[in-house]
Amino acid sequence: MRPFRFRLLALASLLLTLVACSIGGSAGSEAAGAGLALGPAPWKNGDVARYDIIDKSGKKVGSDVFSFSLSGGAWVISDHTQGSNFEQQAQVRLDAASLQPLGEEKTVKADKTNYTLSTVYSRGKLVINAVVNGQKRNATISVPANGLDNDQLLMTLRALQFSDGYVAQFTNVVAANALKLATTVRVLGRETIQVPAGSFDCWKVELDFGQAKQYVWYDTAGQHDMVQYDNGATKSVLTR
Amino acid sequence: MDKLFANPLAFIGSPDWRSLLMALAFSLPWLLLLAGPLRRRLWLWVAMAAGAVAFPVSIAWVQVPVQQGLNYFWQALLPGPPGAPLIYAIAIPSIAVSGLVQEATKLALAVLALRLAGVRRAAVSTAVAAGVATGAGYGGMEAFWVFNTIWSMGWNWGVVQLAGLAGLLGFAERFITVPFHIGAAAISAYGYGVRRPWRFWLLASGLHALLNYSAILVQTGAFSSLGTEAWVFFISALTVAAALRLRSGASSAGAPAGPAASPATQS
Repeated sequence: MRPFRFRLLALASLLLTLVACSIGGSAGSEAAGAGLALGPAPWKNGDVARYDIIDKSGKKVGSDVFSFSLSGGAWVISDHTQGSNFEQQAQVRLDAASLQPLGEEKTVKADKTNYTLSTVYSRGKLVINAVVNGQKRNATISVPANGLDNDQLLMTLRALQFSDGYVAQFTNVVAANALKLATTVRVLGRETIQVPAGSFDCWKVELDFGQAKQYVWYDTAGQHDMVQYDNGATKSVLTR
Repeated sequence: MDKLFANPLAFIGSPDWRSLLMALAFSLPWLLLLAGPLRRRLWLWVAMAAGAVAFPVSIAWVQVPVQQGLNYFWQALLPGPPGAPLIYAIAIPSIAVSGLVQEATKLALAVLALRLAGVRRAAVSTAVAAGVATGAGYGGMEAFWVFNTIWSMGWNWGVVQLAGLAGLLGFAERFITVPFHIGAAAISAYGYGVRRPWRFWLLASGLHALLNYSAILVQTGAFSSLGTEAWVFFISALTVAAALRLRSGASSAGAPAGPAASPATQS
């Protein structure tokens, strides 16, 4: 009986492993499934959105300013983030009609790392040129059709067709380290949020990156302003 | 407040066939090398599978809750997040728990496998082989989880092009830590074989805690990521060398160990 029991256990373990792998999809990291349904850009040329960055105790630890400009058929979203030992300037260009990424210029100054990043999206490829602490580096990676740049993400999602229970998948491209995260976006429902800019009736949106989840609140009215963003460590709250 | 118990599936991640192949490639050669002729015994492979299943369960249902409890304790005791000097001391119990839980799990499974296989008074070499098997399963499953995490983040060759060798650290670390798991489990199981389980389990747990303490050192900036890998490599090499020495002593001793047997007389 004993050898038979062991054989059975071994076989069951092997089957479990194989089944788990097949369920897991071995599809790599690029998101499949229903893609994002984005409407036209909800912001206007010259718009500015200002945020305070606060830690878990509510203390202000930085600020973030987004501005929008239209230039030659492309939207440029400029983002200036300032912390106590961190400063980031990013300008990401989007196709004005589809809001798909075209490229980015970015500078980051932190304690031990200074880098500049220049990227171009073209024909399913992303060309990345970086200078990290004075060293030039470059890479070219494939990008799926449903890819969005990480630095456009929070603002581009303002163009979502918001509805209760809405779910879609896309690939979040983090050009700074050439990663591509399969991401699921879910509209969880409505919530009233109080921030320095006032009280807002918001859509609460979940960004599921697989290993981590983040939450964003968008105004249900007007231009669907991003009212609050919670990345698990800090919150960005709208101040106007 | 965070949940006390974690979901074991969180410590498997999104399964990927590349992770499975790599985890097997990182663990199986050690098992084949160290288990000796016992590799033909089915119970050894069952022990390995049990080690693999036990990894997510022991982390989610034992290690994480105890560490969460310690976190609540420190949060209640301290006015704010601990600074750099204090964190070195505060981290010690939590890091020690990781070693104690993981080495206890592997040892318990090795003992269970020996009992189920009908080995009542295990030869020391047989006990070590059981430890090697559960260590290979446990460490292999941990590697599977880490690789799943890496692939799910969309790792590709562009990561290495941008970050250099640092882009390969996730894989390199598993290459080092899988043999650590095997070596540490072999040490514990050796203790069981020579009837001194507590002493060798504590030794293996201590080595495990030393290895994991590097996470604190890198978090506080005391270690660079490269320094951390060097530390992990050093502890792993030490552990595997100790396990190999104990194993060779056990093999030369041959006969089942009696109560008087000791590491000194075995080697």
